[in-house]
Amino acid sequence: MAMNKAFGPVLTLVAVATLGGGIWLMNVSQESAPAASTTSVAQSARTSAPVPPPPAPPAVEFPAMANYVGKIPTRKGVITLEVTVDGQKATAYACDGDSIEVWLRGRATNGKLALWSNDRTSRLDGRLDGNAITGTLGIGKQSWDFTAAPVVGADDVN
Amino acid sequence: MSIENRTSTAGVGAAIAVVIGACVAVGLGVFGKVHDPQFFSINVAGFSSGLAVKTWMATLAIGFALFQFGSAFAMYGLLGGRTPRWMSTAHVWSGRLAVLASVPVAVHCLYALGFEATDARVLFHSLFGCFFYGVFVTKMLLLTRKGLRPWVIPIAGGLTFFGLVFVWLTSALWFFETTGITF
Repeated sequence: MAMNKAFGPVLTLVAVATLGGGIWLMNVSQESAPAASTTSVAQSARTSAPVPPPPAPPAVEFPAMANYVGKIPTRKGVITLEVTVDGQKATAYACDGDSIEVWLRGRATNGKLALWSNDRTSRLDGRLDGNAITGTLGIGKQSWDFTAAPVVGADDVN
Repeated sequence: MSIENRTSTAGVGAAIAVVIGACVAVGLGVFGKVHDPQFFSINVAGFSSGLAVKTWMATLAIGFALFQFGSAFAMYGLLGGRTPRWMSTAHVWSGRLAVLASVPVAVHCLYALGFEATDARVLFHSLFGCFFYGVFVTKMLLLTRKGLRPWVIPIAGGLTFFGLVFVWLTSALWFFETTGITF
């Protein structure tokens, strides 16, 4: 019985860790290589091959404060997308003057944008491409690719 | 070994269990904060959205957890009458199923989203989520210890239960309120 007493809870812990770790590994294995730079870094660290890892691409960072505007043509009209980056945080507003109006908030780190609406039904993924941002805006089940150009004189506006 | 010695050993064991649980909670939180959100995680098929899956898995976990709460009361003889012999087995297995049902949800949270503080609900959900798995680990480790003071396990179990309840209130209930009861 004493054996049993210790065994049961440990079995539960192991089961939870195994299930969680398993799902996690399946996730990691599904990541497409170019999309996830973190994976390739982790993999190159794991292989411990004598070949030195390729030099990391120069880090692209957002300006401390910047505004971007883009237009996304849709079947019904045009969505105007505004993105404001403030330090590590970013806010976006998308509106087509008709049925779509959504605010998104999130992080702007390493030249990447990851924003969500408060109810998590809309999302914006983007990355710095030169001075502009390219990415995908998803609202509900629809999604569009976009390019948003920097607004000159953004600092003056704010 | 004298009784005093045994109690202090049990106390140290309990303290270690609490420290390990705290490390798990903090570790999950730090990891969720550092890891880049991937906005994707494998999940159970057949629901309208990833959020719906998470909501219903969490609700399933809460169902088992409520049974945990009741069966714990029964095991301590608080419900009156005779406690059926199968009650402790049922308690163990409902607990296992509850926490296993919560795991895919938690992995989705950590992998796809991470520790966030965009508003009070999200912050508290992140905190309670980390807390729940920490206190769960503590509770499991405490169960392996002998000679604990009688109030230790009920306190740990109660914290685990309320951790999960608050996780559910800040996520699944919010989903039901904003989206309605959708599958």
